[in-house]
Amino acid sequence: MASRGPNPTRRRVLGGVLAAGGTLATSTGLIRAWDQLRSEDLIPGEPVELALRPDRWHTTRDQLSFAAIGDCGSGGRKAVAVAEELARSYRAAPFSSVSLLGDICYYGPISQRFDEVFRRPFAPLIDAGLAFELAIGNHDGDLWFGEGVADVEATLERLGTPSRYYAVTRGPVDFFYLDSGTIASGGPAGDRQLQWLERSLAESSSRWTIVCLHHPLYSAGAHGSATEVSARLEPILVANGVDLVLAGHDHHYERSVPVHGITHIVSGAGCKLTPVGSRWHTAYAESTLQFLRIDVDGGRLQGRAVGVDGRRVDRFELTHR
Amino acid sequence: MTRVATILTRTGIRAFAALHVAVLVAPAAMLALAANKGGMPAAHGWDLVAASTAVGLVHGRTVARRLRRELRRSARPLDAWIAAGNGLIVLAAFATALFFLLLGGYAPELAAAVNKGWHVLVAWTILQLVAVAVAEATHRELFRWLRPATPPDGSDPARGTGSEFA
Repeated sequence: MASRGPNPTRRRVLGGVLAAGGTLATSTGLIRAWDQLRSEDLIPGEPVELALRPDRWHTTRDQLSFAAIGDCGSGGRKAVAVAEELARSYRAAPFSSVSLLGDICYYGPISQRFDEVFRRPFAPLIDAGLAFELAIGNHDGDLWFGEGVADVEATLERLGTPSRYYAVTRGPVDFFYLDSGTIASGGPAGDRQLQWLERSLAESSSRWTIVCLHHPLYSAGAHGSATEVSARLEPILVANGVDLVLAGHDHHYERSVPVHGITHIVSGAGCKLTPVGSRWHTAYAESTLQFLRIDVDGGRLQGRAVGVDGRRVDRFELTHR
Repeated sequence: MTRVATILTRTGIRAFAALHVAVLVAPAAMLALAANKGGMPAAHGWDLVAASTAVGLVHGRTVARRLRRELRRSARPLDAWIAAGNGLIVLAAFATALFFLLLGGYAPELAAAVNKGWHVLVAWTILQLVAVAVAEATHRELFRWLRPATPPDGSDPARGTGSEFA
């Protein structure tokens, strides 16, 4: 319908104002949206098709090989690519288990997405009989999409994880998987977990002690060091001579210098990437898709961060104290 | 129209069409560059860029032709540019917002479709075409809305003597 009299001018003004305002608003919104688009992993990935020979690893009282990967729960192309490289790494040199450092399910509840975020990317390794052990992350229920405790329990059950925090012994290593979110929020639940940890570490008899949790005690990344966690946890770890702490949460790779004798690794670039800088505690850091591979042989522990293209991102070696 | 004005108008139309292409390609290019920077193979993500570029080039050509026609046949160059500007903004907003809506809001359904063999390119291209359709409708409706009323003498104020540029 045509306009009348002075309306064309008013409509032109309105149209012009809309264009100007829209340009400003859209530009601002787009810059933010594209920034988020870059760091997420929203394009669904196709299934990994790689045949692996099962049960090929070699675990003894003195030897163990395992992998660790954090924040891999997108089911997207990047997550699938990292999982595929992890499978190739197994094919070249088998390992017995994968430590998941939290956030194994983004963009929806685990009850809907378990296949996409876990079973499909890791199918070759699951079929090869590897064990998957989880340190609960903030995206594994409670805060995001989930229905609180029920979603966390669903995550644990689907993975066969015994509890929100637990210990596992493999070869010469005692693993302690923690629920760092509960530690951070304090309260009786956090205290109980810390008391359990203190007792269990004191009773630990294996040569190596590795703690796996989601929130890093030392990180130069976007979230940074989880000071609420480190304040409560670090004294216990130091007092009990923990060798290595593996964490995720920040989406990059970072290795710390020994801090009170403990080396801290952030291995949270399982599918997403955020920038990382350098702090006093940083020995090496890089914002690149990666997983961690660790080989223990007697009193020597070798770690390698492996990129999605098979590139060696970092390498370190620890000698048992 | 003077020769300078003609050249400026032609250049403006081409630049405007190029903006439409850029806005459609940008999300896919962002994804590909970010993935490549994170260590993904060089070819990763460029299938989406190719799809976006194909849609963008067709749409850019359509935009250029329509804008040329509106500028030539009507006496309302300002209305044409206002409508075109708003159409571009709508395209930019929808081209990115729809991805978030589908990829973030319907991740399980999309993953299930990928499981069944649907290539993600199909969903991506459909989203781009929806954004283009909404932008086109915005442009056309706004241009029509800005059209002045027919004067009492019956002459069509929207029709001018035409411009000299082709």
